[in-house]
Amino acid sequence: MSKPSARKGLFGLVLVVVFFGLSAWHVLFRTDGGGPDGEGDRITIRIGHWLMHAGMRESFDEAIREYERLHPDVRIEQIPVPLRTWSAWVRTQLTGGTAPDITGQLGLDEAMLSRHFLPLDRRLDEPNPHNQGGPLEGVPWRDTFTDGLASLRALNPNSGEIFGVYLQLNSLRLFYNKRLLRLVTGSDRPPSTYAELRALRAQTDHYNAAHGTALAPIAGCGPYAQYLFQRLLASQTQKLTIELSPTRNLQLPPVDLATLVLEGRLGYHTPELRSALALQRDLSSLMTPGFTQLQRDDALFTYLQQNAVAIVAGTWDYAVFVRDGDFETGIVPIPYPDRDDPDFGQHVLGVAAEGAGGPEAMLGVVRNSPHPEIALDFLRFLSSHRIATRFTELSKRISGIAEVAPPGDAPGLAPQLHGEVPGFGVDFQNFGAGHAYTLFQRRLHTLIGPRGGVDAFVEEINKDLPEALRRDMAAHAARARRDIQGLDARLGIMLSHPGNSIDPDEIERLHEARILRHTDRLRRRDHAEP
Amino acid sequence: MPPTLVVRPRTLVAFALACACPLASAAGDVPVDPWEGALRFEFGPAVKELARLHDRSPDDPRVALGLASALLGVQPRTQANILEARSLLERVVATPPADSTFTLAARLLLGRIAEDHLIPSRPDEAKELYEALLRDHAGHPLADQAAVHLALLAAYPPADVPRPSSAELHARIDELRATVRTPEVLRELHALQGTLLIAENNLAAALPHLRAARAVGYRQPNRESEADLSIANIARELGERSVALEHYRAFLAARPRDARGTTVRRYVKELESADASNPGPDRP
Repeated sequence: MSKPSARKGLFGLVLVVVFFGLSAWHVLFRTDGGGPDGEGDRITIRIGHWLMHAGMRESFDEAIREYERLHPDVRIEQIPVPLRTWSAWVRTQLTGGTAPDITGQLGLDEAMLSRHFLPLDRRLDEPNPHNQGGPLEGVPWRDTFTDGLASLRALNPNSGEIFGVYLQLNSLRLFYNKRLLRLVTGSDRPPSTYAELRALRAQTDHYNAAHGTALAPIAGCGPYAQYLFQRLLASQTQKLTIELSPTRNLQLPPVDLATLVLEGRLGYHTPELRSALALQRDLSSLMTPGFTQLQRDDALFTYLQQNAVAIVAGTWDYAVFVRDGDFETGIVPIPYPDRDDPDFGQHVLGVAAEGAGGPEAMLGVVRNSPHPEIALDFLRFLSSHRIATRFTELSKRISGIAEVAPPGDAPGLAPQLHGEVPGFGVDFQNFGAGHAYTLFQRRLHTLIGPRGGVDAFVEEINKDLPEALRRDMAAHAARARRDIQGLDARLGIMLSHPGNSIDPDEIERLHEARILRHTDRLRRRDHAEP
Repeated sequence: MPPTLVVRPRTLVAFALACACPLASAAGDVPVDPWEGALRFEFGPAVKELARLHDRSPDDPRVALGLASALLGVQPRTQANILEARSLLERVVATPPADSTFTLAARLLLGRIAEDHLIPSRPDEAKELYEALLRDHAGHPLADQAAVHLALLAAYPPADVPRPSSAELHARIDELRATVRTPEVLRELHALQGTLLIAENNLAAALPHLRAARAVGYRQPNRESEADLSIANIARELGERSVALEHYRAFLAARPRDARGTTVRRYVKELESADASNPGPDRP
């Protein structure tokens, strides 16, 4: 070995030894805290989240400043993590035991939540002390959330626990450029029905031809188009949902839809489903050409550059339009087909309710937080009526806290609680292992492409749909079986728990969960087999 | 010439990484009560700790049941773990007294292992185990659970077993219902019969079963309000207005912001106005 290469080898060796030593020291002597840390004698609480949309970090900053003013011995550190890396980041932090005291719960399943987060059920029965003097004073913390946290409890059917709270709600809106709408339609009145939204296509074409512009009626992108399809196509299956709901509860979940299709009782030949497909083709022609290949930022850019009259986006995007748009944006609910719409009204029951909206900004306190009570107090502070109102004003988002009004300049963001039963989607989203959904997306070009159509799509998809559905059904049944196995194990653990300290009600609830999952698996077994 | 030991950097890296694994593992080893750990889905460490306790007290049925249960939950699920769990449970069953919670739990879990843990599953063996448990200890909450599993096996038999006729099936579930005393088990049997009868489109026969189940009450999130809505819709279809109204109102009280609320309120309004204009036989 020559001298330079020996020196190089030695240098590498020393480097490895030094880094290994440092890493070993870090791993072995890592503490989970326990006492004051950070600056001087102040206790540091860290909060990690993915909420980087406009106004959110500023909202957290303001809440942190306010809390630190009230509690000079506490320092709070905000750790915003980009959404693209969130999933890997949060799992690594939780598994490594280094997650922030308050950690976001986006994308975490029941096992991760149970393992790493403090159960909150008992604490939720007590009023939130930070609501003192406000409209929610004395109200149990649980009931200060719009749905009493039922949506979060439903995420944990096995443990039945609640491991976090949410701060905000999401829904979908049609945002429009007021100036462009006036230019294109000659009116300030935004579309309120699907027929009026459709008319925007001809109006935009006419405007483009007259002025040499290339405006699109709606700035579209793949993910947001999915939300839009999910909302509007369900208008065509409202009546069918009531008619076919297997337990007569006005719902038809994807697994039951798949069962009906595999039994030959329903299919894309069914008039309601055909109509939904026709609506999907029609809607697609309103969006930016090639929208299926575009992402959220592309659609937002198209709208902000004033290359589209409107955009279908989440309520979470409104702050971007206010901050970055050089024009005034109006907000309306997604225009629904009227019952007397000649093309798409036949199967409609009426504008569908949105429910309270989807929970957003879910946060919980990790089990290994050195200061769980302080972290919990800050979580209560964040979800207090006063702070939630400030969040709403700064972030322009809808609060998940009851009695908090939508942002002053955007009452149109408030969830539409009144409306008829929503129908079901026709693309098998969120079912099984996604085989049928993927097939649907792969064949979509035959439906919405320039030479496509409903007949071409149905012919294409029907070739492979039964097989895809059976594979999804097998995945569904396998998941149910895994859940049942876990629940059986949990039952044995509870029944052997020392000191008989398990609440008998809890054991009963577990039996019920086991039987429910077991019944679900057995009901699907026939369709899961080839 | 004697052989020279050459340590290459890559060898050292491999050595360091190999050392790092136990280090990281040691750092993460925080002692936790194994039962509490398992309840938080940490079955791996629970198995280790329970195995240690079991070695120390091999005749303690509580520890054996705990270890067997943790083995059923630990990932990856392996046939070896399941067989070990089964053998532990068999020893618990052999430990007197025969009517202890541990013994009955072990017997129920042996049936569950045969039906849902072993691959391929053994429904015949499970059926025998459930039947024996029910026969020996009917009325005990754990033994009564076996009745629900027997009813489910009858209602949804494996593909190679002929399906019973509707009359045979309901007679069998009626018979099981007569055997058990636990209200929650009676509820599940009624709920199952209600569901089967809806599928047969026999709504008039389904309704009393669904109401009997609902009267016991559910503990799973939202299940009670979903049952209210099912009962109300079926009652409405059958023209039983007061029943429909009672359960629609219960649904609305429990789920005021549900997306189905407006439709339900419309139904309530229609039923109330029908009540006012045409008092039916069931009007209170």
